Amino acid sequence: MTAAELAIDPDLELVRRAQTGDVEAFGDLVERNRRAVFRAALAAVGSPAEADDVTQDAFVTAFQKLGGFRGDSSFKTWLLAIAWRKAIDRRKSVTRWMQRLAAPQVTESGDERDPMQALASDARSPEDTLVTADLQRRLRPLIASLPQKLRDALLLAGSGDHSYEEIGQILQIPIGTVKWRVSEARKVLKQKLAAIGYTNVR
Amino acid sequence: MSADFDKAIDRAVREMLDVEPAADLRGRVMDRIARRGAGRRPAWISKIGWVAVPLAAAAVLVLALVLPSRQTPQRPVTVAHVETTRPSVPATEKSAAGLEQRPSSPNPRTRPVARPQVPERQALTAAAGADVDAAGANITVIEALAGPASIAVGRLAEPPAPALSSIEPAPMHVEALEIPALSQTPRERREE
Repeated sequence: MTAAELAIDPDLELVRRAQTGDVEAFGDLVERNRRAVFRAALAAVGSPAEADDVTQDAFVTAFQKLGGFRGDSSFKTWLLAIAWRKAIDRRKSVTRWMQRLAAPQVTESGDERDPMQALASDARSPEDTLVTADLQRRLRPLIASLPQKLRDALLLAGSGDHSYEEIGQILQIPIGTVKWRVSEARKVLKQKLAAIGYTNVR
Repeated sequence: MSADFDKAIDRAVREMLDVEPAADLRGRVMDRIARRGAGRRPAWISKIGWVAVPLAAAAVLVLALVLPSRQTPQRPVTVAHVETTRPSVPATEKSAAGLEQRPSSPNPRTRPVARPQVPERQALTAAAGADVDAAGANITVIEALAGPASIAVGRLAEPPAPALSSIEPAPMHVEALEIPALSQTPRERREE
């Protein structure tokens, strides 16, 4: 393993050790990547509890498939792609919809809440530096109500954990499409803010 | 202001995702891997299985196809010689009908068969027809036939190409037609 390879993928040495049966090395890989995987899963499923399940599943699957990792992409990207597929499967799963039908989350006003909206409202209170707390409060449900493709791209890009290139590989779309979706998501949000009375929105 | 909105969006996104994964995630993942590993066969066994099972199935299939054809015993075929009573035909009628009397010399391959072969004989007798007298039937044993000799087919000689000059058509001869002149006009013929 060359220094150049390690510079490209700092996980590579641990991956090689894990491929030879070093389970502790794989544990170190879990530790290094758990936050990025968890946030990608959270961006997809919207619920911390489900994101936790998805993250576990993704790591276990990655361990089983580790022999097939050839290093065509970085380990993190490969891992995030596995996690994303699992998260999308979870999001689409009939079981989840059945659970939601059986025990819908109900707001104080009696409306059913989307998990993403619940996540948005349960997040920590913002530090208001440049914009008002009211804008922040209004933005989160608007983000949650975006079309899935736009929302996925915006959340993955806005998390700060992934580059556009990584997001393209996770979502299996060209990098240009990632940028367009992020831009389109911002545009839609600004339109919605303008519609509810925020002026000077361009 | 647009830049402010972009920053607000970025901040909102970060806050939505600002949830830390559980601290014991590594431990739970390693537990699950250990549990799966304990109950699973080693990987090399699984890999061998993927190769060995199809090979074994193919071997069984080949044996099933090859062995019966090889192990079929070349036993002599036993045929019931059925004696039936036919209406006697006078020798004069036979010669008149073109039938010739077969020589009555005994077949050298024909020999009487002992009693233990009765079941096989019965089966053949039943196939031979209803008018078989089982008690008096003789058994003819036919030795197994040898395989056919290889047939060599020689290359066919191509016929010589006909000379082009010989396909010239014979000169045509057209007989002269003799058409007699009509002595009557059409009206006269109609009136006639």
